[in-house]
Amino acid sequence: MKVFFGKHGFILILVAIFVLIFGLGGVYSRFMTSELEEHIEENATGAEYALYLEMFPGADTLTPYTPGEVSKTYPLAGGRGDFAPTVDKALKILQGTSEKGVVYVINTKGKEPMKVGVGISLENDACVGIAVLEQNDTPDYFSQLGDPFYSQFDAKALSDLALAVDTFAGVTYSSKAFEIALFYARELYAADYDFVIPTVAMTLVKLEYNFDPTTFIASPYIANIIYGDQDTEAAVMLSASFDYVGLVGGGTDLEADFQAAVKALAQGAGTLNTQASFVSFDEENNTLVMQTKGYNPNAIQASIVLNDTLDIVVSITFVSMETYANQGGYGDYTGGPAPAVENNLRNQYLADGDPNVDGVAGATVSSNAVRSLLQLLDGFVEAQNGGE
Amino acid sequence: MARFAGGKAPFLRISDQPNQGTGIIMRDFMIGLAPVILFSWYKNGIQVMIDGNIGFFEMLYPLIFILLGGLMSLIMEGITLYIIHPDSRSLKGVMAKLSTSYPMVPGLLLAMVLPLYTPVWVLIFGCFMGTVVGKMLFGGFGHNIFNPALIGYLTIAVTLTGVINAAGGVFNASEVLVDSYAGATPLTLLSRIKELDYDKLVAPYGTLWNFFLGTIPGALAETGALAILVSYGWLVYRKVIKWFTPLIYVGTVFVLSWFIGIASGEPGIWFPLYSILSGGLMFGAVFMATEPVTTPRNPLGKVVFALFLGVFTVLFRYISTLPEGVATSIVFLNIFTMPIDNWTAVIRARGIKKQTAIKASVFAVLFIALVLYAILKAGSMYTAFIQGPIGIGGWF
Repeated sequence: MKVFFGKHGFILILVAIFVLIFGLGGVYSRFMTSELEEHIEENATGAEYALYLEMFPGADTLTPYTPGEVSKTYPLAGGRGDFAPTVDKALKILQGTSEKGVVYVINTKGKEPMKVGVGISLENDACVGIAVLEQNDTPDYFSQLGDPFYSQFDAKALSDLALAVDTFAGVTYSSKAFEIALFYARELYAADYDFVIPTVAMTLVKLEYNFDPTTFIASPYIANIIYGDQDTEAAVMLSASFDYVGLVGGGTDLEADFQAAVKALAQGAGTLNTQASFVSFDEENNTLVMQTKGYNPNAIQASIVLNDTLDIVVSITFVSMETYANQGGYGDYTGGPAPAVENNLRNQYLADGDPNVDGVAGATVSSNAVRSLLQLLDGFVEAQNGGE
Repeated sequence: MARFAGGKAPFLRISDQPNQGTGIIMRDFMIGLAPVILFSWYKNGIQVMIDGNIGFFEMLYPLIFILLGGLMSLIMEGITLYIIHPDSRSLKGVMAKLSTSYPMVPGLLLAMVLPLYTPVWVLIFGCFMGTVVGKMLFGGFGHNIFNPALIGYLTIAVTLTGVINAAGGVFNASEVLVDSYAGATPLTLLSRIKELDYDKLVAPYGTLWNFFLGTIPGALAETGALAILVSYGWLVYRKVIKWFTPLIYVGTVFVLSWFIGIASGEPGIWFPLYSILSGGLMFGAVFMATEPVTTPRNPLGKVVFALFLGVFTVLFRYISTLPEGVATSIVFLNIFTMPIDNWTAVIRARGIKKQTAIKASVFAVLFIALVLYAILKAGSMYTAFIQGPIGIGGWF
């Protein structure tokens, strides 16, 4: 043994050192990687917390806490069903030892999942800011949300019954995500603090499109409601953003609380597809102009000629700037340029009168948009014919 | 005459005299590496700790990693010598061989051109490929054809880049927090955008002064142009390397980049400066293109070798999908070291005469053809060009 180690000892030592370095080096490398990941996370958290502190001038500390459990669902934009937001974390905002507000980090959803932080001031029960932490919505649309949109969250009283977010034109899906987050934050705030969400006695019986050519531009929707202590029934006209416009057929306007309530209920209903809308109606030429939102930020516009009794579609002409590539359809789009898809769906509709036309492969977004327009048009035509 | 063509008379035997020989060369070479190693440690360790982004043990990692590369190469060469030389199976025998074979150099150089967050096992694998495969299997020091460190580097680059990126990649803990870097080194950015735009290629990293100082993202030791120049001065002073090899190599890349810029729309003189200060060009020029075994020995051979290195680096860097090009071009030209050495030795000994004119013409025609191809091809690939700042003051 002694002879063996005398002859081969040093090489065994070399091998041992090699193995030792291999093992310890691996541990050291792993330590470096995990530390780097931790540093990145710490930095991201630091940047995130700085955003929250900015919402509360003078605040200097954040303390995570466990919020009350609240389970609510809200309709997604575009009639895509209901969504249940969740709270990622909650933070108390302190100035010294004095509690100034709270931030709820909420998992919401626009077109895709989104994470936002909603800051609420304890001093006046108002939303004082909103911070986008993660979002995956279509960049072309989401980037349109600028300061005018975000500034509405700088002082938004939670006592406002409707608490509606002013939707940015063309970015309805993402706008809705903020509204869901705001509504859910109010529910969490009510559960955690001494705050009561305002309520008004009102039931939304029905929400439908307004097919009256004389009023449908200013008031594209009609809501049938029952409200007040006396269960009063009313049909009210609503704007494209569900603001109260007036009673159908005129009469004394609803009080402000009821106006806000009907807006909140209509916004929350999510039963109408708001993708397509009426633009104008030329009574002399029986020409209806409609639009619908597809993939391109510029809406698809359709000029529709009807017969004299307005119950038969004579022709539909599209003006479109759609680009069909990369619309998330099944398979690649192989047809011609715009308005090829629009015309395809139009021809299907004109052939059999069924507005539930088949989409074109590779142009799913545009197809859905045109289908919405045809469905709205079909409803209009049916309405002119007494529903026959 | 041909017998002595590989060198220049008189042949003085001084290597066996005190304070001469490979031992002294190795010592000088190690001293030459020191500024670059220290800069690398400062940039990726000390400075990052001063920034408050890492702790003490993370601060030590760059230095330990580089030294570990040298140590692993030493151990592997020792083990290999033990295995392949039964007559030297003793500590004394192995040490005697190690003392004249620069055993630590491949590992040291390899570690210096790897990203900071390279796992140690990847470094060990690279050392194995460099020392055992690239050096010892060819017969050891003096017999290897390819630069051992670069064999290790290229093997890792081809097979384990994903592992390195998953472990943290090239950015240190301060750089990874800089949004403007967008996760790319300057050369990676160029290969992505194909635009010679100062605002996109230089501005995200500061100015060209940052490129010169080395405070830009890059492999451990490759970014420190200033530190490399200090090493260059020392190595030239100590006559460890020839002064003109790095100069011609870098100069060729500079001039070609300038012409490529002009062919593409005249982005300004900042572009060739950016080109020579980015990536591992300076490091490769000083420490690898001058490697005594795998590069030509006679001065004219070194000149030709450096000229072709410059052209191939530009070709690989701007025309292929490789963002770097230095390692590939050096290893590629290692193949031609012997013919270059032989031909240039003859040309040098005999001058341009009838017998040597063909050889000289081959070099010249090949060089000119490659230069023209590089300029025209690269000039057509980079289509968007925006002027850099006016005047040299704006670049620094």
